[in-house]
Amino acid sequence: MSFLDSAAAGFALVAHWESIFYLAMGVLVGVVAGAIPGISATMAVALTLPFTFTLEPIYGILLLLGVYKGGIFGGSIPAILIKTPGTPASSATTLDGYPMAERGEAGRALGIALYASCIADLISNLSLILLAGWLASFALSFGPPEFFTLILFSLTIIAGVSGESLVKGLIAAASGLLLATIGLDLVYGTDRFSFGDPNLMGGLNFIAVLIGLFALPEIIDFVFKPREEHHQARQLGGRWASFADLRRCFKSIIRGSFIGVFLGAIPGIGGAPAAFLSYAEAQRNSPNRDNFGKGEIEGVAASEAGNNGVCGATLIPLLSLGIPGDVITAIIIGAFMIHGLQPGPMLFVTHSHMVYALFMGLILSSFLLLGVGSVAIRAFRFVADVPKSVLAPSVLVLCIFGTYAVNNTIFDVAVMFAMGWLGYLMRQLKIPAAPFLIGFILGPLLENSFRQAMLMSGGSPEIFVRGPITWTFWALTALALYFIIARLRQSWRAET
Amino acid sequence: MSALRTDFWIGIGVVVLGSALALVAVPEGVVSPRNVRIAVLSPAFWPNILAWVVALMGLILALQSLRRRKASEEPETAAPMPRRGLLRLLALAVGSIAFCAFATKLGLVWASMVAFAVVLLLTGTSYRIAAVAVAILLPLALYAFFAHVAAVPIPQGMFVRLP
Repeated sequence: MSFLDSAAAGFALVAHWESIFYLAMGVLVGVVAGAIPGISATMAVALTLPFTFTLEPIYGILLLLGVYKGGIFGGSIPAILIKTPGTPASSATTLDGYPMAERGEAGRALGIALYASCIADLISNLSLILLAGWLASFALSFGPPEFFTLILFSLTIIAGVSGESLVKGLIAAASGLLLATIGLDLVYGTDRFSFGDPNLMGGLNFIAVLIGLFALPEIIDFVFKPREEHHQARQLGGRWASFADLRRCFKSIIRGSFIGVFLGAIPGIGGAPAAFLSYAEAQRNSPNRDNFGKGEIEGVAASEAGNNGVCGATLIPLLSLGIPGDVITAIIIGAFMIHGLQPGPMLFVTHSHMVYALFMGLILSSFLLLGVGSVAIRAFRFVADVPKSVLAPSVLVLCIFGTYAVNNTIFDVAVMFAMGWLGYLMRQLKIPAAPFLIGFILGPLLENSFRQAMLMSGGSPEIFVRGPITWTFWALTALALYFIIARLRQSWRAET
Repeated sequence: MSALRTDFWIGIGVVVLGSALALVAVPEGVVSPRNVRIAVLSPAFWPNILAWVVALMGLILALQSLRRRKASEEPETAAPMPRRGLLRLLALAVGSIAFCAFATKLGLVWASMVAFAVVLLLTGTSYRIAAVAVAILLPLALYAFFAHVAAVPIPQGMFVRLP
């Protein structure tokens, strides 16, 4: 299929009112969820996933991408109005957003946050379109050894999502990889930790593990320490972000967008570092640098451009190589698999129309975000007032129905509860859950590519250094490990 | 217990867990055919490696916390555990086991309403009317979506059947 044929087929797939409806619905759900303190964008994507099972793959994936993008922007609303970032990526937005809200300029701060988010999102999506196809065509020449080294390299993203302790992150990742070995062995068809139970022969259900790890610990924590939070939201004020404001911040928005794109394309970095780097660069280059931290509109624009610039770019490794850029895209990989699609270079060959439809949908999502975001900003007061004592059991019921609906078995609900308690225990012990999930998702890919390569070579490990691609990934892995070790040594020195 | 001491015991626990997996769970739980000629292709190879990696990381965590404890002068204070909170967690754990045991007999919708009510009772709320309304309407709405739109056979239970 030529480029034009694929693009036309993609357009035919996306040019339905349903596509626009599900995308808009996703953005709306994401903005609302992101705006509710206590519901992260990750949790919102995880809880929406079961509702996509019966949808056409394109509608389901557009819905999830809408939730992702809406969730990242939605996090900026409470960050500005009540100094509580809805998502970690919005932390930098509070630095100038809340002082602006205190001055009675909340509407202006939210307006520029929305404009910056939409522009950055558009730039990020365009970068995805330009780079993903090119990277995928390069990755088409990959065999099992190349994929093994690539996945090994992508496991270094664990360093980025491990939080305070890398060792604890590695424990979580190895446990996730180990959990993924449950089920029938793919080469010999023998039992692995299934003990003859048919429920375990296909392995643990991804959705049950995901929802259990990311949604249930919040509920368990609330049961342990019930607290009703009442936030004092600021008034929006009479002033909205003007064209002059946008023009003044434009350089910072463009710079922040490209910082977001660059950091988002590297697996494991995520939105928060991009937002802070973009903020720091804007401060360094701004003539108003002394106002930063005191309510400078350029600071809000730079932070939001940085974190939204990541959104499209995290899909570059996802679509072209089949590896997640962050936790949310790890969940979206699961969504692709549930709909019978395997992200990676072959997706561009076997489902090129789907890829182009997604590209078009993503471009559309930037404009939908502008519309939905404008309404959400004004409706925030109602969103922030959802009492947690009603929200927590509601989320529990959503988790139960969502998990049951995957395989129509209560066994999955039991797995979800077990994972919820495990996630809660991990949280108490400060062991991060994100590396666990990434290990659980990448585990089968890593093991299969390793065993396929060993079958090809008759057991000779030389196959893993068979060409320039494997060498490149070994070098990148070594480089990533060097930086990780350097960071560890630095923190040890600081402590002693 | 201080954070460093907790980390030490987490490390020891992880070493024990990893070793138990490698020495007991993998030999007992993974069936390896006798005709595997290349050791790395054995179904037990990967789980074995990972179990030992888990144990090794646990050991590193324990040693790291020992090293840090020597360097720091952090006072080792024991934080009081809220007893009521622990009792609520115990009730939630029993509730989640009971849910899995009786959900299909009671029906997923009714069991979810009970689960909602249990969480409400455990946490308390000052929005009683809204909570009762959501407890009834949310499971019914989810049933309507999954059973009638998504064609998922939601268990109806033995007592009250829904259309």
